[in-house]
Amino acid sequence: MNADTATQIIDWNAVYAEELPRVYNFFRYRVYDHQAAQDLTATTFEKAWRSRSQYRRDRSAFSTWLFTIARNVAIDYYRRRRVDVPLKADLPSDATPLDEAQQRRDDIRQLKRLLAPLPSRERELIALKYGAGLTNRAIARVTGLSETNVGTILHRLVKHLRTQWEQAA
Amino acid sequence: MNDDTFLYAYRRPPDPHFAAALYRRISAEPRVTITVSFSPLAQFKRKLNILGGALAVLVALSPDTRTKLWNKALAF
Repeated sequence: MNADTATQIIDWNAVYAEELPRVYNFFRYRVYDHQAAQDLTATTFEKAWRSRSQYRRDRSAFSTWLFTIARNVAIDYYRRRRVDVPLKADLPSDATPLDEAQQRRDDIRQLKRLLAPLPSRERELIALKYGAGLTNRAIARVTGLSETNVGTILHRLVKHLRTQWEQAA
Repeated sequence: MNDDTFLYAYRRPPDPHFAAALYRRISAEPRVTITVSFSPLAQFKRKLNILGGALAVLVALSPDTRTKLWNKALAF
């Protein structure tokens, strides 16, 4: 970016196509509810769109800025509800073969059992990593934790969850 | 299965109807682009220009300048 450039134009089409699935899946992992995930995704993009003039490219990547908004939207959601929403197992579509559909249902149900009791911070990290697909560095920027800290927590968490997953299998 | 593959089980693409409807809603404004605010250097230059202009006006309107101009006009 040229520092003298007065304004920078970002291609909203590209941003939307790239970030929508990430934000949506962040909320799926964060709130465990399809409809709520859609509502919160919409809220996030509407807020981002309204405050787009405040985005400073020299300060952060666009995805960091967007996920900071998404994170706050999730915090507001839980503050309003005061309770965690139980995970609903989304039924696979009719086109999905029966065996595959059953396997998917089982996996989702099992994942729910593993993730539901986690503390809020750990669930947020899982949502950012496996829902949004962010790198540890990006997660560190969004959450304010150090990259090393994020890596350590996730490593410990995944190890713990994998053990439980394998035991259940 | 990789170490953490099982953790991706809950991922799912957003519903296309939802994606299209949301896009229509948020891009209802004329421009479908994000305008990024001025860079710090550009902002500094802008403020410097404004300050310079204000100083020039101040000097031009100062009593000393006015007196000199008045004397010049009388001498002429």
